[in-house]
Amino acid sequence: MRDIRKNWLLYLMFLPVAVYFIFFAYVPMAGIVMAFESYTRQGGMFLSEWVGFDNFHYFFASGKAWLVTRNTMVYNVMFLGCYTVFSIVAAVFLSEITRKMFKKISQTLMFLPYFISWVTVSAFVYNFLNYEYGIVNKLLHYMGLEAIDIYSNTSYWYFLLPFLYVWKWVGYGSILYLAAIVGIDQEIYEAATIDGASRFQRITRITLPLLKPTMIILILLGLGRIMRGEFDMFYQLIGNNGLLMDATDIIDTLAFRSLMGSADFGMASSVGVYQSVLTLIIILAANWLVRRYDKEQALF
Amino acid sequence: MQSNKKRIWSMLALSAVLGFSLTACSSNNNNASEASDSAGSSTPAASGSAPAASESASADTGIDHSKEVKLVGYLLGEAPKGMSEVMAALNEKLKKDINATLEINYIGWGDVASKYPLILAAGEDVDFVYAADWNYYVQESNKGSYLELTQDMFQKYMPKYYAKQDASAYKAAEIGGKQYMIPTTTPDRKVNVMVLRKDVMEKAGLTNPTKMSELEPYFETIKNDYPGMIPLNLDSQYDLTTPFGNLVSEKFAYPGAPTDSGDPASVGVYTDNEDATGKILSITDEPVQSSYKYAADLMKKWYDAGYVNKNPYSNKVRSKDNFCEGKSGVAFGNSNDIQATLASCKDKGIDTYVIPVLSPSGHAPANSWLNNGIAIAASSKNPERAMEALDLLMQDESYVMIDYYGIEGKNYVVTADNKLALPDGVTSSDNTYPPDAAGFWFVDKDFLKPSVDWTDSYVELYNKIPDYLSQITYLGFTFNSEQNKTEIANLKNVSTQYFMPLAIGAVKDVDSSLGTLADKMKAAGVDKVKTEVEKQAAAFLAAKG
Repeated sequence: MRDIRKNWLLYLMFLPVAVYFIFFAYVPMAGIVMAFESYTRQGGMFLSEWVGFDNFHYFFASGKAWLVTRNTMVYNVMFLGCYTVFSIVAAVFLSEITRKMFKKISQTLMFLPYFISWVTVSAFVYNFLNYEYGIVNKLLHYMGLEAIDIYSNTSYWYFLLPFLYVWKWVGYGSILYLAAIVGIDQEIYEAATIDGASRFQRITRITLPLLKPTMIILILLGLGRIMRGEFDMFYQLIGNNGLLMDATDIIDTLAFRSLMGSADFGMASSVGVYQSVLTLIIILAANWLVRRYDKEQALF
Repeated sequence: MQSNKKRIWSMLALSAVLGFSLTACSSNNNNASEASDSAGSSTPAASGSAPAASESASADTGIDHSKEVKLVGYLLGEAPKGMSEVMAALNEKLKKDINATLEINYIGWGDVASKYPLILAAGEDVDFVYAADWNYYVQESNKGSYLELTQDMFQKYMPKYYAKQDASAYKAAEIGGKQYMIPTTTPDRKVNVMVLRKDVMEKAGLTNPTKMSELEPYFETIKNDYPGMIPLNLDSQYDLTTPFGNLVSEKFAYPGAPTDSGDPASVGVYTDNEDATGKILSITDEPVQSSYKYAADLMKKWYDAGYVNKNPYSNKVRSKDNFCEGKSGVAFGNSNDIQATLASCKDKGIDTYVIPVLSPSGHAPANSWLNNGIAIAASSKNPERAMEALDLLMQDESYVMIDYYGIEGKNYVVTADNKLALPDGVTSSDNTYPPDAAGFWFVDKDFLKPSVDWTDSYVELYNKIPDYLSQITYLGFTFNSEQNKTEIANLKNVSTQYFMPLAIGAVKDVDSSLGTLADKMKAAGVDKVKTEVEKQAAAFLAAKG
């Protein structure tokens, strides 16, 4: 109580966030019951018939549960890794640039893809890569090379998907890290310069180690999304293309494809619950690992 | 000191950004449950309106119009440019006749599967929606999204409709003994068609093609002599499985879509439309198996030869919509919706040739009552007034002319010999309200008129349609998939992954792909679905007598 009186301003600042989470994260959690019901309009959320785990059945009976779970995890780990590395590299580069004009322009250009929706991106990609009149194949044609059929060959997408993900998100990520770099005490750099440290040494010995706490927090937050496939991206880029499906099907697209049309809320929520439970396990495990090695850095 | 201050500011900035990202993930996580939450909360309103409806029906016979109401309806497709003028004209009449005004919203073709159930589930501000057996009528009825309609309601609020409608239509619309839909009084008389260009046909030396498999020289000519035109330029929704289906139709009376889903891009349980005993077939039964192999072999040959666009999954433009621009060699559609294509080709000076898609015996299935219709949303606050409005929109000639053809003198004129024509100075490509385009497909089509624009080949086809149509064994049968939700969900998925590539010919080996498809369907539980379809089909046939 005394704590509240003493730090009332901080508590006041926290209040909107608390309200937001109570209403948009905790209250809707009651909706989990729908995953165990055969939902009807008359019954509504709480009075529909209780069917236990029936709604989960289709997901595991599809024979693809393991495949899509693995795909979701592998892609997201890949995305998170690329995103973290490229964001840090970009942030370090940006912080070392002294020409203000150039810095602002490059930062803006990097940030721009963040605002483009995947729908638009998929249209770009289609016009670049499609077999009949895509720009890439036109170029190959002028150079006298064979056209490549990207939309029916999985191997290209293992590279294309992370590439597009990084292209879209790196501007956003670099800002987070740049903010952390700006926060590093300039005196440390000055002292290092006087001691004769090269620019490269300053980066590896000062900037990167001091970025570690930020990095750990961001990675832990990123892990919270690890079972949520980037639905927009996969659905817009790949869509219903059966030829690519074994390589690019994630939990979200599988559920969408199976249930689109029947729009059964119970069955759809069952997938959400499945993802949430796995996510919870992963976050707890990751946090436990961080705690073991460095108690200070753990989230909780 | 200076740097300290700076650090505080940057930490604040960082925490603000982190806060953003935190909230961003959490809101993502809860999207699904939020949507369902709002669905749950609107339920009381829905159940409240049903008793109100029956109450007022029993109270007195005169209908009270003293309170002005605004009705909101959802149709499929896109609003034509001239929609606002048409709405103004309709509202003026409606206001006078039943003291109501109307607002029509559209669900775009690409979003139907996701948006249609959501609009009904959210239940806000929707009085009537387009309904059809191919558009989730059974599923949504099972979920209780529509208001149950009784004979009394039709008699009282839709007198014109009630006078015209055939008694069997009410029977056909019943799901579990209850009717939820207002089926059209005039089931469509249409057949699926393919449209070719006469100039290409001449070059290819093709005189009177009657079916898909004869078109190979046509495709070859396009490939060689028409750069920029793709012989089969398929879109992701309608066209994708159409050539395949047309090829299968050459072998037996293929329903175009399996009985269990009504979705042409899906797989599962079939029947031969012209088999009077109505035997239910699976993909490994004859004639399905050999016909699928025949169609898949040809499609693969064409795909490998470059006659089919490589990635129809990403293409959202239907072949009939870029046919006249010279981008696709064949336009796919049905004898109703192809009219606009034919007219716009005529404007551009392209001669067209229309081929109906028929079964080996030369027939096409007649459409069921449920092919076009409208339903009242369970959450509608004014179901009575909505029905009255629909009675006028569907069955009153003065209304039908407006909602189907637009404003007289601006979108159409009627010639001396009672044909439909465009006013002077208007061409079919700049008509702001083209016929049939506004989604009012459930109106009484006996009011419609032939058009002066019709080409000779279309008129010939149009006159022959009644001869083509045959009453199929399962006309009006709708499969209730309530018991097989799990299997259907997985079959849909199998269909996308293993059937669709086969249908466009993009597989390495047809035989092994067909084998894989059959295996995967078995694993997804197709046999269980088949048993259930057989049970319901037998009951349907028994009731039919």
